[in-house]
Amino acid sequence: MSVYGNKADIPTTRIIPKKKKDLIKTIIDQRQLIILILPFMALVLVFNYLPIWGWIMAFQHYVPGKGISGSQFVGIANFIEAFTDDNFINSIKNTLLTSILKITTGFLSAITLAVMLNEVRSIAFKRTVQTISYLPYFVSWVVAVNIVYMALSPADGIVNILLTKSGLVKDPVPFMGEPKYFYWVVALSNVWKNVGWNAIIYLAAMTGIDPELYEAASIDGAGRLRRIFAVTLPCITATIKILLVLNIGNLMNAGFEQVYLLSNPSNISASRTIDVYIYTYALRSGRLSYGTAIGIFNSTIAITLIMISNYISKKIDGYGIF
Amino acid sequence: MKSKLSQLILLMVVSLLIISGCTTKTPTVTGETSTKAPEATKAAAPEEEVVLPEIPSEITMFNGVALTATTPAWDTPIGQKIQELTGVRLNVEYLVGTDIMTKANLMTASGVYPDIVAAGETAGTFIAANAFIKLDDLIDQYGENIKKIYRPKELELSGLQNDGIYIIATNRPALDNLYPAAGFYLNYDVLKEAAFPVVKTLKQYGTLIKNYMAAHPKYGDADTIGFTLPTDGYRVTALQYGGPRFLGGYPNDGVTAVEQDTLQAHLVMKMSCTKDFLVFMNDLWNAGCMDKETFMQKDDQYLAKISSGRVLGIYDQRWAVINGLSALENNGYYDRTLVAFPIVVDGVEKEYYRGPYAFAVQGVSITTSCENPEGVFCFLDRICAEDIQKLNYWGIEGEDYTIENGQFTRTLEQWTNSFNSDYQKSQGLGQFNFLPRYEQTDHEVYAKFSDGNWVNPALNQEYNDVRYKDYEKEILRNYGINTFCDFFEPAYAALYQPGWAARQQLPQDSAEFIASEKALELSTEYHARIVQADPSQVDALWEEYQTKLDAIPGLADYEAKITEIIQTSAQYYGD
Amino acid sequence: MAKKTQVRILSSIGYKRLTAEDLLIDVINYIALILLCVITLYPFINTLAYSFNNAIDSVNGGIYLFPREFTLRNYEKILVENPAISTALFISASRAIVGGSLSVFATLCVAYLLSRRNFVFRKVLTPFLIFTMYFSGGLIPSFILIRNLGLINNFLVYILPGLVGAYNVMVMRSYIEGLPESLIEAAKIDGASEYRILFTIIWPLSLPVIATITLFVAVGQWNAWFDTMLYCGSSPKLTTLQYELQKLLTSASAYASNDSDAMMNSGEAVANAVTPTSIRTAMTVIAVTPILFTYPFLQKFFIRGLTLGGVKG
Repeated sequence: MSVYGNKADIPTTRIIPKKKKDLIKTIIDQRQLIILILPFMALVLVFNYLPIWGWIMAFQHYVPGKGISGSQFVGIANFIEAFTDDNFINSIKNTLLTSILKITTGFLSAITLAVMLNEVRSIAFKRTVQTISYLPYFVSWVVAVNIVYMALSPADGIVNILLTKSGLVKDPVPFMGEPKYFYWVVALSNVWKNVGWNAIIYLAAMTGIDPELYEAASIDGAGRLRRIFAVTLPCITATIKILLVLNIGNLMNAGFEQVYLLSNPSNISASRTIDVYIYTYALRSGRLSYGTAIGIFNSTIAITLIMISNYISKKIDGYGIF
Repeated sequence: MKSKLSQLILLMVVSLLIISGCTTKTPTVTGETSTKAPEATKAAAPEEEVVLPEIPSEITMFNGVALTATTPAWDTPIGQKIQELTGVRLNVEYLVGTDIMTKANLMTASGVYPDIVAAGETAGTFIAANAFIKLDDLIDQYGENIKKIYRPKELELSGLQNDGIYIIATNRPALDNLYPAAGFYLNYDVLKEAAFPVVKTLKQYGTLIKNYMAAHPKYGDADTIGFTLPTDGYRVTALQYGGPRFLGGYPNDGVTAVEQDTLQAHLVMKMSCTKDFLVFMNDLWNAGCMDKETFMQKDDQYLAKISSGRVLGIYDQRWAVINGLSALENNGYYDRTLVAFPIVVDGVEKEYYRGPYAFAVQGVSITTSCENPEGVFCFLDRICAEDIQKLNYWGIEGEDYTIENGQFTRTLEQWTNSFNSDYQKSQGLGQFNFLPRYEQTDHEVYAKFSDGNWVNPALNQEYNDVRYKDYEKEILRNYGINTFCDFFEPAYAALYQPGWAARQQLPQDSAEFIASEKALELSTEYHARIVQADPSQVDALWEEYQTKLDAIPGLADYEAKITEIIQTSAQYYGD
Repeated sequence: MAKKTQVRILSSIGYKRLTAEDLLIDVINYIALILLCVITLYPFINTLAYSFNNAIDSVNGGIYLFPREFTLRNYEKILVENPAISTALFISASRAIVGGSLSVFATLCVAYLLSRRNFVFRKVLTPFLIFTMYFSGGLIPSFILIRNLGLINNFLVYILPGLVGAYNVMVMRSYIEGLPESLIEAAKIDGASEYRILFTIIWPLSLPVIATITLFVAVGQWNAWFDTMLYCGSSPKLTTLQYELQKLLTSASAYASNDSDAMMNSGEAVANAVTPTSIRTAMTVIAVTPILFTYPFLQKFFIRGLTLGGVKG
């Protein structure tokens, strides 16, 4: 990384004892910590882990009237049905493409915005821009998608007007009318709606940067741009890494509301993501077993992904999130 | 620092405990207050007069639709009157934010229900979960008023669908004699220019549009739009099967078209009328007469186009475009309004746009969690009494209508109020249609009050004159007709259970139902593609589409099952 | 004077004179940010305009920055004619304030503990927490659990299940790990207990991230309605603002099942005087306005920055 990097030092000696009686001694030593964290972990256990018993529904043919104990056991029939359904396989592909694009553009845009805001010296301007930039976050997707449709309309949408008037394209582009544009529409509208909000974390992290580092850098002769790359970015690397690893786990989750609202008969081959598939074929028909089975599939992939990305992260600089 | 933080946390914890204490009810979901045991129970009483059970003063209900008024119905003047007359306060929970299927699953999973549930299309789920009680005995013993206003065959049919009567229908048939419920609409200016033709066929329709567009490519600053369809979310049914089915001369049976003589049901998407519809649109598309945004517009944009007066033709149902038409009227574009026609493809003799009106479809049920089912049933029966029904349909006597010589009558102001949805919601007029009620057809017995007045204000002789606005009256005059329905075959009582109601009786996770869902999704994709394709590609694409449809397992079974349900139901219809 | 200089240092410019590079970057920066403001401000202004516009006129579309036919009717319908609104406001505010602060406190404790590298259970509890972000037992099992715990129609159901959010904990932990270890070492040498360290050292130094998480959590609580629908639907005393607002959306929304075929059986159609668009937009404005007023208060913590000299070990 850089000379002006993170000031936290990383100890390399083994801290947690291996032998059993040392272990018990450590627990007693750290009893204050354990007492502090215990109630909260208990809450997590109860509200997040206990409901997992419901996963058994995926191996049944669940009928709401009979409940879980009364429903018939069908083994992995639901899983087989999903994987032999073309629509489902297609939805996996759509989900991945959409998510990858969303995550990439989301990250780049949020970090860029945070850096740009960090460079602003006028407090008033900085605050104003920050407040305005996160406003779309609060507008519901229903309203936001209506605006997107209007802006992208080939007849009188502002985007097409700018594109044709400036001569970049000859004819208006039917953004919402063709599957190939769909992933970009989702990613970019997501950026527009969330960039301000997502940048908040990075800005908070940037306030933690020791100003002496900037001094040192400029004394060494680094220009403005260089200082950004030498000080600002490395100092928030830890934050970026955490968020990146956590978001990679979300690869199978392309968001339901936004995608569902943006889909229409013309782009349906691209807009059928896993969540939309579940909504159409599982939730709306009351096929909870089927929906649960697909949900288990999603979760397994997500956890595998996060373990892989954590492993890679550790390989890079010895520091992963767990 | 430490003390400040811990003080803060302490404050928060205390607040939490206080708020929880104040807002928690004793944990039952049902109405648990003041239900008294039935005072004198039934059958064995040797007296002449049956002593009715006591009605509880608070009843809970879940209504499977979304709330559309800001003032809950029970707080309106009419609601207050009903409360006085019945002595009951109804606590209603409405469907919020999810679809009813999810909510039904949650409720059946919890096993605890409010006293009454209006389950809509998910009734099957509740019945399978043993959530509802049978009402047959209760109707026999206490259902005085219900027996008066529900046709016997209808109750029988309700009993047929499951192994007993679980539902009292509240989606009662209603006639709108003034406007057709659905149709292929044409811009009035087109009709004027063509000297008021009566449009009967698809070909005629298409020609009128094309000719007009050639003569008037623009309206004001904007382009004229020859034809468009609603395609946003669930509205896409117009594209999937709504339009084609009527074109083929079949009544509204949902996804299926039913042969009227043999009662065989076929999937609309496989029939030639669908292909004709798609070819028609493809033709318009390539002639530049179709809205290029048809398949990528939100409902708001669609309605905005209608209200701008630029649109020449659509296929839609009136209730879905009414806001657009109102806005059009508001803007004063009277001669750009849309008039509906029952067009069909060549070779079809009879059209069924206004079609059959049906019974025994959706309604309310009493749940097994109810502690006093007899009492609650008596409440439902009391609601069916004439005095309350008059409140719901006509309003408060003296305020909303008066009686002259035994006839209900209204002043112009009262009529205008009754059309205003704001007034309806704040007064409570027509806000109790989620409870058992009269039907609003033109039946001499079941749709009239005992004093001879029609239940449905629309059948009152003053209505047509008051309802139609001046510009509409001009259109009627130019055509020499009395109502906009005169172009259409009259509506009639159904001869069998409609296909869309039959569909709701299939278990939702059955292979057949899923097959129909897959077919619908396929149709969305292919219909859009066929319309936008090059004319030379249309046949090939249609073949591809049909092959894929045939490949869906269970589709033929779906048609067979629907046919079966329809045929069995036929004996309970038509009196 | 000193404070002003301190604040000015925070951008990377240091206190040297402006160079040409600085100026160029500033100009590009300012222009780009202004453009961003324009496109992000637009949806909100547009929403505001629709919310003040006559509902039937809104159907015509074409409203961009200003209402065409000004009216307060939409707000009237929501705020004045709806008796449940005051309860809803109270409950939502309570959730945001009480639930928010407790959740932030919980997050802080857990994040601090997981940041201690010598914490004996760290390697176990961290994945334990993180994995919760990626799976769910499902709606029905969760519902049954809540019911069995007696939390149906109980205010606590808004607070307890989501008290510790894995994402928030990770963000906070990452920040705390970036704090200088030396301070904590020094405090330990002085004999301070873990509680003392948490409250006297970590808490003041972590204000930026605490402000951030407070914002996330409070906004989440303020906007929540799905849990109201699931668990408190039959309890009018526990209704929340967004839930009341969601109620007002007619069945012509994307989610509510609407059998258009069945609708044709129902007779005459009546136009709505308040359309979904006008309700949605008024809803958005009502829900967002309190947040707009609270955020500047939290923003102070971002700008304040690290005051190294402030806390001596």
